Amino acid sequence: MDIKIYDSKDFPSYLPKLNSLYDDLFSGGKGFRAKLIKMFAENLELSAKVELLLAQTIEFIHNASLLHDDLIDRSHLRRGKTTAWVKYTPEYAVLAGDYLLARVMVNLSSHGNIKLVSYTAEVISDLLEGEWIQDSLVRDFDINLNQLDRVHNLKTASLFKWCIRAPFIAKENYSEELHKILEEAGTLLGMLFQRSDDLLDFDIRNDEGKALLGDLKSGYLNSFAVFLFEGIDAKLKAEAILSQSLGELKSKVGEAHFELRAKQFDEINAHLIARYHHHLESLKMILSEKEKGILKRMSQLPEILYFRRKPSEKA
Amino acid sequence: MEVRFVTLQRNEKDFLNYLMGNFSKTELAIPVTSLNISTFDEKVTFEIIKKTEVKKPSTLRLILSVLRLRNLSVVLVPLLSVLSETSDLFLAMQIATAVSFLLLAANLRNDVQDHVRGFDRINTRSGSRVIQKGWATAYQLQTLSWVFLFLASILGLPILWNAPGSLSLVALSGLAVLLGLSSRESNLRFSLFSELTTFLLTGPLLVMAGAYAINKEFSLGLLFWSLSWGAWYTVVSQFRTLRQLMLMSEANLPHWMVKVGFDRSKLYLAILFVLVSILLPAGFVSFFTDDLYYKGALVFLMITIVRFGPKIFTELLKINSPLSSSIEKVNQGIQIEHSLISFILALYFISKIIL
Repeated sequence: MDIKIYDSKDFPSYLPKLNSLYDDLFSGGKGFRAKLIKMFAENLELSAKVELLLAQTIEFIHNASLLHDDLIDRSHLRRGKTTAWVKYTPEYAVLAGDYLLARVMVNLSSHGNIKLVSYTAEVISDLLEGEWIQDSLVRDFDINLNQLDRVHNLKTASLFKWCIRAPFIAKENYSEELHKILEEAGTLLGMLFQRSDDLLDFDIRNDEGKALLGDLKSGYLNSFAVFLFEGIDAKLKAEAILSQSLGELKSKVGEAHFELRAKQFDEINAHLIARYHHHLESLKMILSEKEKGILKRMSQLPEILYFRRKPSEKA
Repeated sequence: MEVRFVTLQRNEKDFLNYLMGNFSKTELAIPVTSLNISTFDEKVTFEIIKKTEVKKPSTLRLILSVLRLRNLSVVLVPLLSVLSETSDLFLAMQIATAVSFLLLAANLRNDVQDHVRGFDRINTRSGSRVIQKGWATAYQLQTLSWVFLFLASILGLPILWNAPGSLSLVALSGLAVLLGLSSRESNLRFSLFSELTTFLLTGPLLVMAGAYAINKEFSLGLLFWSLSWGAWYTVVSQFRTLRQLMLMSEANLPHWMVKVGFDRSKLYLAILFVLVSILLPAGFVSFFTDDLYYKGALVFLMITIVRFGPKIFTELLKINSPLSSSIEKVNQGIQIEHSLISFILALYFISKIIL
């Protein structure tokens, strides 16, 4: 990660364990959202100061949500390390998350772009609403994909929407037409990212070695699980949900059925990718010549976010 | 299979043709749904698909999907109750058919207006969804709506001609149905008065207007029956609305459920459900004569209410999320109960007319 998101000098040293907690938190992670900001900053010619501000903002919000998430889910590991609430205390984990959100507001209001502050506040609100609703759906095994998409639009897509809209807002480009297209494109990116993440749970394109069936074991049907179990006999579904391993689950639903549904899931998401590219075409009509430079890199995002591969690689 | 999209602004000249489905003889333009409330108005993205690629259902299923005949119970049951007081079978059928056609016209017009305004792109549970599935175009539904309105007029005008005293009442009712429930500009479905409109139109206005049109008589028993049916249907329709609470809140629609919030909506709906479950049989008892068929109908009515009511009540209170799958299950339960009650009552009223 090129941008230094976390610097201990930015946080009070007199608060015990705070900087140690943040050191652990920010030293892992891919910083993908900050990289998105960097990508836009280069093409929109944002100053280094603004680039850092935006990158810090989004990473602070994202990591604050991770701190809270891990406590809500009672997860013991995050990025291969002990989670903050276990290593320190649940109280410190909650407060550390809150403190990051407070710092976001301090930093943005110092910058002075009120629309950016307002939009960021909305996104944080959406994120929290998404978390709340998601928590209300634990152990609801009859949920459908459309309902889950509503949750993910709030919880996941909101941050992607912010990543692609905030740089334009920082540049004081408030065009309604532009932002509506970016909002739709951001929603699609968020959905693709979330669905890809959900596939990792079933060891599909799981190069990072994520633990399997974590969502299911937590009592939560993710998007691929909902899709996989659609139309399945209720009794079989109830048994499959209790599976302790992927092998066990596949033997219950049938290996062939599993592979077929995985293929069909990719097909419906290919449709979302096609819609995303259509929105990029619409952006071409309204961006300036210089700004259009961002479109090539934006066109590569579905490949990175959904198929989890660099654009030069092909399956 | 290549996927093709087109995005158009509302003020572009081809926009309406794409929206209504008559821009091409070989292709359909299906508006894509959106999860973002803010994007639904000015621009619409269409997915262009070949008509030959659409898998249409059987003709019967298509008709049932387009017309949503189950919704006719809302007017047929109260109307049949009034018509059961007449021995003129032809008049009874004429009135029932005219009002049914009017309701079908209004429902179809609703679907078209939801589509034109873009509401069905955000609310994926609104209407019949036949346009979104490519089974019919908005233009076809609009045409069908006019056909039903024409047929309702053909059947209804002679009735009004013979009962001029009721002209203002019946005409007002019909006009209110069309204007209030399907208006593009001021859609009462989501205003604070939407429940009052539904209650009046499906209960007192319809029953009293029908009674006056037939035999120029009102009675307190009839009024109570009409109030009980109107209240029952109004509460039943709120179960469908509960599914859309999150969306309505995001869109800041002025509905009572949005005002009171999720938790209180459930509680108030549960209380109202108990009240109308008592009121409905009481209304039935208050009006209808004590014959053998009436007792049979009352027994079946009570069995249905007792069989389904308590479970719906408890499941409703257990719902813990506005997106919970339980809302759908509760809604299905209440729709089944309503369908059975409508069937029992309709059967009783029809038997009274015939026998």
